[in-house]
Amino acid sequence: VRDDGELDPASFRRVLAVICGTVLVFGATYGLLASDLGLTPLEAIAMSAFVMNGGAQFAALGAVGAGAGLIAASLAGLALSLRFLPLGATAGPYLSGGPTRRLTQAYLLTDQGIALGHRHDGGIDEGRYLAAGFGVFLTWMVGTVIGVWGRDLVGDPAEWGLDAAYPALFLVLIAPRIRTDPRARRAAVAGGVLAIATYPLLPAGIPVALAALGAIAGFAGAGSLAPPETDEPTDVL
Amino acid sequence: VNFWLLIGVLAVGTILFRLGGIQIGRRIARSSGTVLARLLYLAPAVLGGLIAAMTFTEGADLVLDARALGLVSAVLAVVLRAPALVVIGVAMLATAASRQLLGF
Repeated sequence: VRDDGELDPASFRRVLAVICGTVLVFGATYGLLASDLGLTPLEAIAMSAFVMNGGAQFAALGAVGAGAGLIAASLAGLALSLRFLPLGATAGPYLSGGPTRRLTQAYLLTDQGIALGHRHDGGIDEGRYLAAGFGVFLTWMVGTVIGVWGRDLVGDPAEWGLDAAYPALFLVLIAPRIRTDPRARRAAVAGGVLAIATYPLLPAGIPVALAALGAIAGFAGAGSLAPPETDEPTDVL
Repeated sequence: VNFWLLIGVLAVGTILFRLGGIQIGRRIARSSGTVLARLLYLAPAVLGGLIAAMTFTEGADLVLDARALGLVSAVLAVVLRAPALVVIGVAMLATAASRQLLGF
């Protein structure tokens, strides 16, 4: 752990390993669901490779399972990808290189990459962002393959509490900023409240994208916009 | 449903959202320091939304179940400055245990 509260390389690798483990299990769950719904192994694997967004894939296939047609299933899936607009905007200023490189950076844009790349000063560490995105990509693909062919290996992720891993991870990763910057704290709370308040009213996926508006609660109001200096060593990891 | 069409639509839409978001961020960074400073609050807001949605929803409904206990445990662990892996482990354990023991 570094004095400024940033992830040191060893902690980063350990956290990423845990994240990859959960992605593997969720990938397998997806592969199972896809073959249950009648996708061929090639279709199931191609979907993971080309879409590379578990939320969108689960939402679209969930809609298909509930009897939706192509348009409704597409909208359900795309709604879950909508949060990549605000998430991409947070990463954009800190990513280097030309158009080809940008395509790779965009393809590897994940919730996990944003969370693990999140710097204490509010910026994004490109190396951690890309490493996390690549780890998620790799384990998502392997998980999909396991789910498609290894039916008996996959249990119920909920039984191990795996579905509680992500909220906890996201919390840990924004904790240093939330501790030291009241504006970041307001933004996070407002985002959470917005997502929950609009959840029953709007189609799946939209509320989390709308949570981006919580940023307004962060930067509106009194005080300087610059992230404050850390007044104490933050020992999260 | 033609799955290949579905895959195509989702793949194109998703990469466009990803590229578009990054492009918006880059443009803002070039044009205005104030707006860039405001962008810093997007990540906590969206991650806050994800935390809430992943904990308190099931399908189309708001629910309060074992995951809420997991999140409370995670908050406590963060307050006590536990390392990241411990926080994640505590959240999973609390969630799994309350499912097993309380059927909740």
